Amino acid sequence: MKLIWKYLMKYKKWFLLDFISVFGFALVELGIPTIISDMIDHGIETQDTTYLYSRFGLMAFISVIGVSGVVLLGYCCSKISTNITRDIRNDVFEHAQAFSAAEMEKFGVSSMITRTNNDAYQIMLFLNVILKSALLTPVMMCVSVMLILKISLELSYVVLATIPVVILGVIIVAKVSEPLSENQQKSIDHINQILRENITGIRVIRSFNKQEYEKKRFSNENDFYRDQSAKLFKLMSCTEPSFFFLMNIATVIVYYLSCTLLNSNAITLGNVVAFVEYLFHVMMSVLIFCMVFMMYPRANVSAKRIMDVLDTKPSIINDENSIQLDSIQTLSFKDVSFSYPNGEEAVLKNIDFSCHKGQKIAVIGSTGSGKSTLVKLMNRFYDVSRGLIEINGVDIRKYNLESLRTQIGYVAQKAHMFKGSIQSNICFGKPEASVEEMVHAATVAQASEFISTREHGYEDEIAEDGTNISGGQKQRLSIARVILKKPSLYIYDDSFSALDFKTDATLRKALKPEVKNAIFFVVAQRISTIMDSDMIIVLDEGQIIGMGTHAQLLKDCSVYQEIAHSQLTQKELDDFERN
Amino acid sequence: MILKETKKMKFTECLSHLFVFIKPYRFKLLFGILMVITAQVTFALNPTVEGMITTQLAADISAHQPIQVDKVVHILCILFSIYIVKTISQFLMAVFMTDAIQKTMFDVRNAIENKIHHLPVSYFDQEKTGELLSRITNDVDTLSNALQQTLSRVISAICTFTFVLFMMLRINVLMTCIILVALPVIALLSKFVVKKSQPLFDDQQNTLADLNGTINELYDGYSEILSYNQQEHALERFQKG
Repeated sequence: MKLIWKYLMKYKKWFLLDFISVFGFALVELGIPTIISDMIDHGIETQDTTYLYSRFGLMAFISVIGVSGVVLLGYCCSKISTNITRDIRNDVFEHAQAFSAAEMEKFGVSSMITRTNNDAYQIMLFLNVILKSALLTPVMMCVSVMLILKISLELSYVVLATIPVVILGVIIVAKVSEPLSENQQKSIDHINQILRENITGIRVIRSFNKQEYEKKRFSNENDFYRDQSAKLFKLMSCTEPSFFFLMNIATVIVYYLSCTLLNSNAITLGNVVAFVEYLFHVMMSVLIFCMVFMMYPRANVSAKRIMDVLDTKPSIINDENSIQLDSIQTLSFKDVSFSYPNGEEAVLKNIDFSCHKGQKIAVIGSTGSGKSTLVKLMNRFYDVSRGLIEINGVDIRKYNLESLRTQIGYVAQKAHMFKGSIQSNICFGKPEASVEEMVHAATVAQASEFISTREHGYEDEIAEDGTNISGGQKQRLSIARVILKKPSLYIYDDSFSALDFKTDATLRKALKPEVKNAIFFVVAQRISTIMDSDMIIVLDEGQIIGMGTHAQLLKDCSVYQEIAHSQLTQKELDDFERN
Repeated sequence: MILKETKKMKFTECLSHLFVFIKPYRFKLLFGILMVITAQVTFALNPTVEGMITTQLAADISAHQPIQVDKVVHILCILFSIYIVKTISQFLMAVFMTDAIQKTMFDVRNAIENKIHHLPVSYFDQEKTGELLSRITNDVDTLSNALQQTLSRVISAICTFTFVLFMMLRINVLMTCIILVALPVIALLSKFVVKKSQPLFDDQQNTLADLNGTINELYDGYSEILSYNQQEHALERFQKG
């Protein structure tokens, strides 16, 4: 609720206008029965036609005011609610941009998407209802109650007795519907997630013939959703008839009691007719007000999910006195250990090494040995659990994040392409780059060949998530991105894997002059990629089990020997030694 | 590929496609509709019976005699039984229609999932994931809500119109005619509103799909955005969407 109020206050003027138009509506709804009752008592019985016509004129006048009020109301409330929803979406996204990897993992991409999209929409629906009904009803309620009290106190008791019953009913319904609502929302999250996985992973699913499994998984979740939705809808649909039945009982009682009251001339017939009408309004306003409260849990769930995002403080933020990083001269890991926020075991243990600019450093190891984690720490996507990472002799945490990231060129294992032209993708980090710079970067990355074969060359459009180019092409484009950036630390996380041997070799040769003044850090699976490194780090289960040049490791490190012999023949190894 | 020309289906075509899914549950749905009609009949009778009360009271008053309570009570009993029939039929309607509709939507969703596994992989290369997902989830939701809430209201409205019109004619033909004159004006107004709003609704759904696609992409590539310091640019793109 606080969330919604905070945003609502930004639109004070519209809110006020909304409030005013509410009065217009109330005027019509309550004014007309009053006039009719008046007409019955003074006009019809006495057959006074002039009086009737004057009352009729008054009624017409009020209707016009009322209708304009309603139209204005509709306009105000749509304007406010759509604007607020847009504001909320913007804020969520902006806040999310400051997130580090840990926060993103905590929520998950699917959930972030649902929250930005769906939950904001739920809040908009709720706002719509509030601005129309929730303002209207207290006004209606107060005025109607005043009117019925004026007519007859005894009859009013009947009406007022219904109010606690209505309120109680609403509370019960709300309590029962909240868990159903929450489950329903979680379930639709699941359904979306499964659908997303099925679509993005379609090739994998088909090649492993897992269609039936996926269908079943989907069907189960679908069934749960259907079940929760059905219960929820039935509950909601039964509340209205129950309410009206209560009102019907009250009406019958009122008619019965009014017999005695008419006899004693305490009230007139016109009063009775009007009373039944007011009774309707009193109960209706109580009900609508309560229905708004019933919508509240649903909207609250959404508001909470959004607050969750907005309240989460990014774990990796700039130090107060952060220093600018101009260029990376040295990089060292001092006894670093790391475990993921949800993990129990340490993924990296006692990592210790240093390197300086001009060097080529390689990391090799089997799957799961912690290579990618090492890289993530260097990028400061996560902070170390123990130990220290130093750049130029200073703790990495002391540097301004933006300047840090400018100096690091990270090519991920799975390169991500954005919707747009090839040019916009290559110049992603430096939109103001010149055409020469871009072409140069593409040439070095061995990408210019395939770009020139495409219909529009550099202007060619890449579809969402790069589905219209191959894996190897994606990798080369992301390498070009990094080259354009000219960082002082290049990190290649298994980025040559999708390239064939020849392209791999040519690429590395072309890269050499580009990177000679920087630190060139490579994570690889192929020995041939890293044999010429100044230092090779061998990782196994999160620990360094060997460090040195290719020749040294071949002599001393058994794991390295294994890897080398499994990939290359003895002759190839000897050839390299001789060179 | 045929996909690019998403022809605008005619409304009747859509309905016939939908009917295939509703078919297994048509009896539940029909019973639900029957209950709606029953409730509407009671709504139409209500004012007449209440009117009988007022007439009875007025007769006693103008004859200057004490109210004949037993006659009033007699009418009230009739009224009360009408109320009971109304409430019960509404409960039954809620249960049966919800079941039928929710089961239909269950089938629709499953059908979509099954179709995903039968479509050629190239289909998914051409269509944007975000947009596809939006269509599946948002549009199915809209359909579900439309059926759940609108169906009963449409039928109620038709019934109300017929029954109430009949009752009004019974009371006074002249007054009824006055109302009937107002009707075409209202109908024209509604048609005008629908004509203006339909394309807006279409736009809204399309924009929603686009937004979803953009959101999808920008969240997926967040580590790239982070490492290239492109947060501001991403924010701009999002805000535009």
